Amino acid sequence: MKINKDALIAVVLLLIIFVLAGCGRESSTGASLASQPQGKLPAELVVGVGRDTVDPEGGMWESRGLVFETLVTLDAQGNPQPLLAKNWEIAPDGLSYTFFLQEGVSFHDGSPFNARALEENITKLQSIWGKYPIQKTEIKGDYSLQVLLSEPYPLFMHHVSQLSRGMVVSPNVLEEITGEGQKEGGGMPPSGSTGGAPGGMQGSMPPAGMSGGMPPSGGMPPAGSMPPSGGMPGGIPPAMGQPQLEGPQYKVTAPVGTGPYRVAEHVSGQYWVMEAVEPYWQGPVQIPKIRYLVIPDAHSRVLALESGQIHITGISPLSRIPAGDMDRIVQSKDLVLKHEPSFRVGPIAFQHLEGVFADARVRAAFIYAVNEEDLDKVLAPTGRTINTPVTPASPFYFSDLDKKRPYDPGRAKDLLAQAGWLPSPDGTLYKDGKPLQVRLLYSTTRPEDDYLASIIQQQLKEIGVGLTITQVESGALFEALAKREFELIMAPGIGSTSLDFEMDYHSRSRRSAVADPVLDRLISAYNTATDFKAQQAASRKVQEHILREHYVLVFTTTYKSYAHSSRLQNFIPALEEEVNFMRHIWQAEFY
Amino acid sequence: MGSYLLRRTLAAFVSLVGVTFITFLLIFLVPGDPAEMVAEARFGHAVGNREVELVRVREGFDQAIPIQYWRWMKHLLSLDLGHSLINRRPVVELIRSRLPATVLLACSSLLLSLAIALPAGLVAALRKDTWLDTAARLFALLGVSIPGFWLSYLLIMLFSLELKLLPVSGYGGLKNLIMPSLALGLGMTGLVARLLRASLLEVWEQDYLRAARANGIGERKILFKYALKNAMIPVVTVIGLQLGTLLSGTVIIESIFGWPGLGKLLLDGIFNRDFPLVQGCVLVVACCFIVINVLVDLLYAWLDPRIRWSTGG
Repeated sequence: MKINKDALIAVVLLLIIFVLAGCGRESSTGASLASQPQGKLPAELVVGVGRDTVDPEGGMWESRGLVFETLVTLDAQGNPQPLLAKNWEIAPDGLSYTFFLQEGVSFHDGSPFNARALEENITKLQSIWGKYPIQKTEIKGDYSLQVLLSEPYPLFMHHVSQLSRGMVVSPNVLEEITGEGQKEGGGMPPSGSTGGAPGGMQGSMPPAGMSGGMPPSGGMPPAGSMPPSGGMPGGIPPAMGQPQLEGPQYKVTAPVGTGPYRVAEHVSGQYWVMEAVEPYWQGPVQIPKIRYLVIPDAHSRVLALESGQIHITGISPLSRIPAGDMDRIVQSKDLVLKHEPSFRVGPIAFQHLEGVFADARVRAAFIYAVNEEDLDKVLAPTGRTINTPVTPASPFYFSDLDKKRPYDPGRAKDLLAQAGWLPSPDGTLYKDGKPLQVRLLYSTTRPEDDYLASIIQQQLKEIGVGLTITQVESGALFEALAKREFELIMAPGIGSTSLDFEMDYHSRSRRSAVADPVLDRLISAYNTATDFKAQQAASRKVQEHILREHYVLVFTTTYKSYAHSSRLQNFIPALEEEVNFMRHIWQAEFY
Repeated sequence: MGSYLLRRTLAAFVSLVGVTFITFLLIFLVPGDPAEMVAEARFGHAVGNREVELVRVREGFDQAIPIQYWRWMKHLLSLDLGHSLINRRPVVELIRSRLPATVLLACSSLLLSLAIALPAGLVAALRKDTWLDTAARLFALLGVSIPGFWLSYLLIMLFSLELKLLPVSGYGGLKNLIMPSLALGLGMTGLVARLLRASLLEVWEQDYLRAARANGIGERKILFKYALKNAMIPVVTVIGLQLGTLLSGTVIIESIFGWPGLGKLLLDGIFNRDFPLVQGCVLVVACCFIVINVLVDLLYAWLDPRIRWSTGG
């Protein structure tokens, strides 16, 4: 009898758990579970993202490419292709661009897209168009606008293909910032906790001046979505692409563009819903609704994908798929994992101005001591080492420069000996009584980078070099870069479609690990080249110089790895920049 | 009691000022240039010196820390927590948008853990050295030992992948609440169950209970009227502390289950050096702790009338 009473208590305890588990109603935010019947067209595609980037500070990041469009897009070879501009003419001197615009295109608020609307964008939205040396604009017809530059800008067509550098918004949502709000970032109205109003909710747009679209720290920098570095305060003319901070500033008050989707609902920190625009000027939109569900934890996102709660993830650096979870995705017959080439390059750079790495022989020795094949093993399948500052995805990539560097510890030791670093009986290298001990600084959330650092540490140990690995928070890393207080640093690196060397390699950049007047001049020549071919040649010189001077121990590139349900068909990712990754989703089908 | 509350309020005020000042100092002591972090969030990744200096001047980062702190305090005195440096939304609004989720999760975890821990602790104490005691102690040990994040993934694999009963992530329905509550509550369950068992066993041997038994009072009445009230004093202290911790947000659980709580907001604020947001969150959390402590003190007096409000006892 006593046992029965005890057992009863135990059963009651268990029942509490199971009753709680069973009595819930369907979640309002949860999407269809895997138990959903197959063969039925779901109402919506659910995208798993790492954070809510509809908050004004991050702009509308992942889904920006669904709402807004640009004048041109890029093909796989990096050549401009028509989008909102059906054609264009470029004057031989590179100072005049005349755009002939698509006719019959409207913004989501019903206002027409025409030369006047484009001109208003260019004159008011300085956070976008202020980056270019635009002298003036001239309307040549209802659908024709001439843009005159004060100096040649050979990358103009490439840059305006990016949303962060060329998105077109409805003039009706451009509002002058006044009073307190007139700060460099542009004031944003509060974002409503729920949306649903026509055209989306208030305050859901990237603010004027927030052109980079970089979400606050916590994620990796988005390639191709940020402006290049600014200039030094005073004296030096503004660097190419620097946002103008003076004069009247305008903010975008609502996400109204010409793209295939509009924001239908936004619940801050939880999810936002994109609804297809009917009719869309390019044709029928196949997937009527797309829900972005915020799941900050990367492993949970993969589990949600496996459970069927979300249907695609990995579309941006803020929703990265952990390499350790990829095997499970590959083994699932319901999921597809893909790796697309990326423009992203992460250099591990030397402090070449002072200390042991001021001697080029030491830098070269370190390069000989690192076996890239071992590094590739830990970087796979999400990335690999390369041997140039740009990836094969870039139009400025030269395959003959991307030669595998020989792994030769013997040669490394010789070079170090020439530099005065001689081995002690235990193999440790010494010079003037001091051991060769350096520190690698990095900041990352990727386990691959931890392995990378450990392998380099082990390989350097084999030639008698001690490497201390120090992982710091991103703010500390940026500060170390800005003050050049490091010996070896895993720089954030963008190497983006902006085709910009300024940030990573110019001495005036806060994020550059390199300071070399010769390289500065080469980058300036690259920046001011008058045509694309000349710029390509200048780009080669920049790359050759970086390689020749051994400023970088290892270059790595990260692929864009994403996974989706096998029910999603015909999805072609756009590679121009992360914000545009899903811009072609309107053509995909989801069964 | 009135003077006691007045004293506690004054002490709370001093504590809050201290907490906010220390937080302010800590943020500045963390490596990294706050102006650069804010500029990065506003201008994009590749900020230049010009943008950083502009932010430094406009946001007052070039001023001495005490001056910056005083500026923030002046706003606070007019009940203004200021605006986020990153997205410019009022801090009050940001906190208000996250607080309900945090309170809901904290309360549900607490209730769930108490619903399991109190009976388990009672049974373990009353059936000391039986298989029920062993089972309850084992369960409590597991609850204390299993890391919350690991348990979270196990729960997801069981309830979402295998049984397909619950969504992995989200906020809004009861189904979304179950797994995070379990993941958070189980650790507390183990702690409370073990503490209650130990406390009850200690009280059970006290003379006043022997006297009660000698007077012919029934076991049930002895347990619930005399023993349990005394045994609950240390348990209430722990529950109070745990509730304060839960209300301050549980970043890992929030991240795993996509729960839009205060913890994640605070963490983002710290990473972005968003001082007004961090200060606002810390202030709210500190207030929660102080209020809970006062409530716990009030509960003491109810549980044990020997405890008085005056300092003289």
